[in-house]
This record gives sequence, structure tokens and C-alpha cells, in this order.
Amino acid sequence: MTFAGFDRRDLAMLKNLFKMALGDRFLGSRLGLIWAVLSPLMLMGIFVFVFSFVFPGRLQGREGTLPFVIWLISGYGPWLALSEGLNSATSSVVGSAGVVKNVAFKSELLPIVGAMLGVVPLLVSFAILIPMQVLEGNFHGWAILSLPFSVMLLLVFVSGVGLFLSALNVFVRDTALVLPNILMLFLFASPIFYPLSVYPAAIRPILQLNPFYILAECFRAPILNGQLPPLWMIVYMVILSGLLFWGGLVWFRRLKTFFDTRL
Amino acid sequence: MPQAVAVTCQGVSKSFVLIDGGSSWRLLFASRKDLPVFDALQNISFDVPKGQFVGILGRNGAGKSTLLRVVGGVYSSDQGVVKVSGALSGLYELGLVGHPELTGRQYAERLLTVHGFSAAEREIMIADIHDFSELDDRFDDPVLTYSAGMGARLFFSTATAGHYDVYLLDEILSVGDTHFQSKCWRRLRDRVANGASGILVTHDWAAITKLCESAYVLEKGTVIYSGPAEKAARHYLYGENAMEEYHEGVAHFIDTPDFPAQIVPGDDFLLKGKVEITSCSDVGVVMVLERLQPGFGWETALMSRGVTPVGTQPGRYEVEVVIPKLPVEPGQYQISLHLVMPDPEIASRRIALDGYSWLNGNGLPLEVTGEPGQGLSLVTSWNVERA
Repeated sequence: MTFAGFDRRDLAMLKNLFKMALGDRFLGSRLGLIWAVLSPLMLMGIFVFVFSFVFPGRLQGREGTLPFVIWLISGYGPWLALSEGLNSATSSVVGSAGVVKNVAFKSELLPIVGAMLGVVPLLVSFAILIPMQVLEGNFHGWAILSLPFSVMLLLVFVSGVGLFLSALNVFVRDTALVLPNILMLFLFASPIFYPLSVYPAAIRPILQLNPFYILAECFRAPILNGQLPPLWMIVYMVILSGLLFWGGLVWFRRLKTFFDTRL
Repeated sequence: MPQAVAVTCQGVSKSFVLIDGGSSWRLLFASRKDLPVFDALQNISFDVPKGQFVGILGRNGAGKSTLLRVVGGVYSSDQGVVKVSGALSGLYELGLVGHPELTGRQYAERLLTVHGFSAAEREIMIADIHDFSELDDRFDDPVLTYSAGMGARLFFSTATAGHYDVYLLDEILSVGDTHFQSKCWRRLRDRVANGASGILVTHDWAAITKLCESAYVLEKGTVIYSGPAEKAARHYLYGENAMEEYHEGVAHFIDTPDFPAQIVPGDDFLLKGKVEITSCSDVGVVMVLERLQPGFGWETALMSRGVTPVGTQPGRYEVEVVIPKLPVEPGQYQISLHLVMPDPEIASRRIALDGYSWLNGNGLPLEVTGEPGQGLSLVTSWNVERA
């Protein structure tokens, strides 16, 4: 059985590549895989500190520290998944030049593995969110069963963009260097650390189409309110991610025959 | 009956697009047609029969490694068809794939995982790699602490730990110490004996004659010679027509020397040649018996110690070489026979006047028949007494 030119062997390869990438990342460090958990925890800690004490956020209906922190992390977790996934995906091909040049496999798996790496901090954020909600006595139950679907959406979206950027990065190495800055810009331009309502009503409909915002909402709606995300968001994201993934794959496969000249 | 083929390569061409700052944008957003290209391989065709290694000789940049990667499926070819039947193991470069912080064990584990071996198979193979590579307790040290030779040992052991149908080897046997090299040869011969096939890419012609029956010489991306390994080696070394240069007008062989084409070890060997000296000079003769055999390699078996004088005055001479009780093993040999005279300018040097040598394409082949491994006994006498 094949899907988009991938078969079962590629699935096994994807699994192996993911294990390797995860292991390699922290290889040689004392704490090893603990960093996979510790690093997002520290980042979340910093953002919680900044937005609850340094610049206390005013959010209607979420007075008190705990509700605010839950709100913050439920948006920051998906954001970490997006940014880490995009960063790893973009440098995946150049970073694995040795494998690309010496092992016969489908190199389009590499940016997908990069996208999967982003899911690790997302899981960490879930793991601290759920106890906090139970503590708050505000656990919403069944709607969180929709989260795996949101994770899938996020994976397809990040893989699609990652396929574009990773192939581009082979030829224009500046891509991976400028990406963190652009992502930082997107982070503060997207209504993730503040509600959409801070923007003038006139431009809100346009800003709502920001996929970063929508992906964050796809996680927030089930976690915070126990609701499924609005249908239009799901339809919009499915179409957008699907198109991006397909386009990214076409782009990547066209360019990968030229990788050998640049790796 | 057509021979079973392990690897087929038909009309394979591969070019690399030359990319600089400006053309990379054109490559990304336009067609590649107007971009400058470098033709690395042009219309390469060859077959590797099952149970054989085929050698590919060529200088640096001839396209050897590119060809190997195309066969292995790492590079895509622009044109042509490559078919490989069976499981494949490729050793394209000695750079270690993956993170240098990995230990040797983890590295091996990783490469085997990529090749899709199960955990149980991996355990056995890793024990084998540990043993074969002789890395001992360094096996659990990070790869970045390894010397080049240790890396090569790990790499070779890992790539050949499994029983594959086809091996693609690039230059790897030139690394490592002699002890390890001989182990590598043994392992490869063992794999070939069990029906494996492969391609050996190298510029070490002696390595080709050791393992391969036939070989190809690659130059600037095209095959310029294909044929038996030792002839390919000669072609690689001296080109198509080039030969040793003989100083003419002093002496020459009148016709091909007379000697038995086949001989049994222990028989007396007799070679007769006719020589004509045309101008006054100290003409002498030297002879070398070289063993040159596919699957064995190349080595000098016998060599005349000094120059045997033939004559100084013009005239015809008869030269006889007798090797009593020929002390060599059964196998295929080449006789090189040369007429020489001292160099008037450099005392220790000799000038070749005429001769026969496989390197010039006119070697005198000698087949020593008999059961291999029967052994030879040199003329020795033992005396054992109870003390």
C-alpha cells in the first residue's frame, strides 16, 4: 500500500529516523533525554513568569494565577510544537547530509521527522496542563479526545512548510538562520499570548486566518472550554495543511535530485 | 545459458548542476535547462554477474564514486536504468554517518537499524562487529575519539556484518593496517564464495586483481576499457598504447621465447630465447616470474638476482633460463623477460632494450597446474635425533 509515494518500508524508516533524531539531539549531554522535558519546562516557566508577574496579563474571565497559567500554556505548548518543528524540519536535510549521501532512502522523510520532534514539547505541556486543571477543579473531560486530531493537523501543516523550507535551505543556507527571527515575529504577531480582541474589530476577520492562531485555538478550545474547535477552522486547516503538504512534497521532490550538488 | 546477473547498469548518465549564488535561485524557481552542468557520468553500461566482484578503476574525479552511489540508489541518474537484485550494502565513503558522539556500538546499532534488521539479528551482528573490528573496549567509546583506521575498521565490519547479495565498496580496503586488510580480504572472498556479488571502486589496481575477474576503467565519466582485471590494471596504469620505452638499436629478441605453457610444480622449467645484438654494448638479460591471478592478486614469485650477461659484440645469441624443480604453487603466472644494458650516465641504472611483460600487453603467460594447496617442499634435509 502506498500513500503519496510512501510505503510501509518508509513508515519503518520514519520511525527509525525519529528515534535517531531524538537521540542525537541530546547526545553527549549529561542529562540526555531529560532535556527533551526540561527544556520546554524551562521555557514555559520563563513565559509564565514574564506574563504573570512582569507584565501581568489582563484576561477577562480568567482572574487568578492558575487559570491564567493554564490559558498561557495551552497556547504556548502548540506554539513550541510549531516553532521547534519548523526549526528542526528546516535544518533537517542539511543537518543529515551524511545520511542523505550514504543511505538510499526517501529524504523527504527528514522534514517530517523534524515536524515530529516538535510534538515532544507539546506532550510535555499536556502533561503539566492536565494535573493543573484537575487541581483547579476545571477538567473538561471528553473534548480533549479531539487533541490527537489537532496534533495530526499540526504535523501535516509543519511537515508541509518544512518540506518547502528544508529544500530551500539546501540551496539558500540563510533560510535556517533567519527562521528563528521570523518565528519570533509571528509569535508576537499572533494572538497567542493575548486575546484576539486586542486588535481592532475591523482587521480581526483577516487575522483569524493566521494558521498559527488557528492551530493554537484547535488546542485551546478543547482544553480550556471543553469544546471542539469551530468547524470552519477545522475545514480551513485541513485544506490549507493538505495543500501545503502536497505542494511541499512536489517542490521537495523536484529539488532533491539537485541536493547532491550542494551537500 | 545466460549468466545470472546481480547488477545491471544500462546507459547511465549523471550530471551535476553547477550552482553559485545566482543560479541557485534560478534552480529553485525556474527550469534547470539554462544552468551550467558538469557531466559526471556519460552512458555507462555494465553488468555484474552473480558471484563475482567487478572492479572499477579510475583516477580521482573520474566518476567512480558517483557511479557507485547511482548504483546504490543514493544519487538519481539523469538517464539510464540500474537494476540490483537482492539486498544491498553500500560503503560509499569512510566518513561516519551520523553523530560523532555516538559510541561504536551505537553507531553499528544505528546503521543496522537503518538497514531494517530486527533486534534479535542486531544483537548477533553487533557481537560479530565487535569481534571483527577488534575495537575491544574502545567499542563503547564515542566515534569522535577514533583514529581514521579505527573508524574504517568499524565501518567495514558494520557494512559487511550481514549477508547481503550485493556489496558496493569504495576505496575502503586501502585503509586500516595490513593485518585488518587481510581479514577484510578473507571476509570478502568468503562472501563471494557464498554467492555474493559486488562492485569494488578504487585506484589501487592491485586490489582489483585480488578480488575481481573483470574490471572497468573509467575516465572523465566514460568507460574507456572493460575486460579482464589484469588487463584493465595495465590499461589504467599505462593507458591504451603506452608501453615501457625501449632504447632501440642495441639488441632485441628475434622471436617470442620458447617455453612450456603449462608446467607442474617441481618440474624443471626451461625457457629458450634468441637474441640479436646489433651494436657493441654490455647486454644482459633479467627475468621475473609474477603471479597475477584474479581472486589472488599480484605478487612477485621469482626474480633473477642480477643481470645475466648475454654478450657485448654484435651477433646472434641463444639465451636459456633453467629453473630446476620450479618452486611455485599452482596458479597463473606471467613471465617478464627483458634485455638491458647499463646506463652510461647513472651507474646503478639500467636501460631496457627489449622485452616481454604483461604491463606492455605482451607478457608470457605460464600456467602452473596441479592441485592447489598440495604444498611444495624445498630441498631441505632434516635430522632429528633423540638427545
